[in-house]
Amino acid sequence: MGMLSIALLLSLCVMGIGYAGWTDTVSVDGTVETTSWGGSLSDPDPSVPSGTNITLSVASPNTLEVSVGYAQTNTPYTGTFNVNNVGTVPIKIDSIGFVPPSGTTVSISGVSAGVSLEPGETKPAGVSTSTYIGCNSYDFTVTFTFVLWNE
Amino acid sequence: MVKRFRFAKAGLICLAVVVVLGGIGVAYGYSSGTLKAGDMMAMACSNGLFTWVVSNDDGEVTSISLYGDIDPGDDGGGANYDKWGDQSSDDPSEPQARGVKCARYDKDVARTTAWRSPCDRKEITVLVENAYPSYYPTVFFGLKNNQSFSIKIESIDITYDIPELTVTFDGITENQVLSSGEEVVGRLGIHTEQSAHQNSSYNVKVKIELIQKEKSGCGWGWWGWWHYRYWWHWGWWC
Repeated sequence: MGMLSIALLLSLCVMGIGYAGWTDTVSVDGTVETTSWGGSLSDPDPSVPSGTNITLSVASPNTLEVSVGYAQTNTPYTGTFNVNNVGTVPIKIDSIGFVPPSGTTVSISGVSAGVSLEPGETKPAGVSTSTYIGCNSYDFTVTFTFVLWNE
Repeated sequence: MVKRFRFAKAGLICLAVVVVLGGIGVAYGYSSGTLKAGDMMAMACSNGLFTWVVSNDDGEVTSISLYGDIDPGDDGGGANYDKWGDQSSDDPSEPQARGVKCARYDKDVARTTAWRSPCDRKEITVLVENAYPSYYPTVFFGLKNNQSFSIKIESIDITYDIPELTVTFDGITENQVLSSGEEVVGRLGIHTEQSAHQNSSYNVKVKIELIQKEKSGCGWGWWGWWHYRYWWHWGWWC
C-alpha cells in the first residue's frame, strides 16, 4: 500500500509539474551564401601596326601594362584587350586610370567609366598611344576599377 | 498496535492525496485554461507554432487569409537581368513592410527562400543564395499560440556575430503575451554589408523561448499561496 501511494504521488506530481512547466523553443535559422563578383582584363593583343615594337600584358586581373620601343613621332601604336565580368553579379567600370609618360598621349576606346557588364559578359577594348618625341621608348599601365552595378 | 498501524497507512494515503492535489493545484495555478488532447497532438506534430513563412524574393506574391498579400512586388523575373526566372524577383534593396511594396533593383541576382520544418513547425530555415553587398531580403512569418493557455515570449536571442551582416528582427518582442489562438507576425531582414567576403557562408540564428504565462486575475485555487508564502492553501487569490 505504501509503495502504491508513493508511486501515485510521484506520478501525479510529475504530471502536475509537467503541465505547469510548459516551455517551448522555436527558431529561425538563416544561411547567407555570398557569391563572387569582379572584373578582369584578358587577351592583350598588340595588333596595330603589325610588326611595330609595342607589347601589351595583363599584370594583374585589372591592370594592363603597355610598352613601346623606339616609337616614331606622331605615329599611333595600338592594341586590343578584353574587359570581362568574371563573377555572378553585374558590375560596372568605376574608373580607368593611366598616366601618359612625358611627351606621349594615351587613350582607351570601346569602354569607359560607367559601362556595365553582366555576369559572363566580355567587352572588347583598345588602347592607343603616340609620342611627339622621336625614337622614344616608354611604358605605362592602365588600371581598371570595378564595382557592383548598384554602387 | 494493529489499529495504530492501519491508521498510519491511511494517514500516509491521505497525505499522499493532499500532496498530489497540491501539486496539481500548483500546476494549474500556472495555467489559465486546461490542456486538451489536441494540444498534446500539436506538440507532437502538425499545427505547430509557426503557421506560415513568406520570403519577399522567391518570385511569388503570397497571400495569407488574415492579412492579404504579404509581399507585393515579389512577382518573379528581373527587369534588366534575370538569373532565376520566375523563382525570384528583382532584388529588394530595402526592408519590406508587410503588404507594402519596397524599393527593388532592376536586376534579379540573388534569391531568398524560406520554409518551415515539415512536422513540428518549430523551425524556419532561410536560405539566401548568390548574395552580394546591399542585397536586402525580408522574411515574414506567423507565430501562433496553439495552446489552450496564454504563453509569453520569454526571450529572443539573435546570433550573427559577424560584421558582414546586419539583421533586423521585429514584430515579436520579449515579454509579449499571446493569448490562446492568437497569432503575431514576425519579420526578419538580412542586409549584406559592403564588407561581405565573396564565396562565403554566414549564419543567422534567432532563438525564441516561450513559456506558459502565469494566470492573472483572481480565483479559487491553491496556486496563489504558492507564490507568496511557498505554502499550499486553498482559497481566493489574486
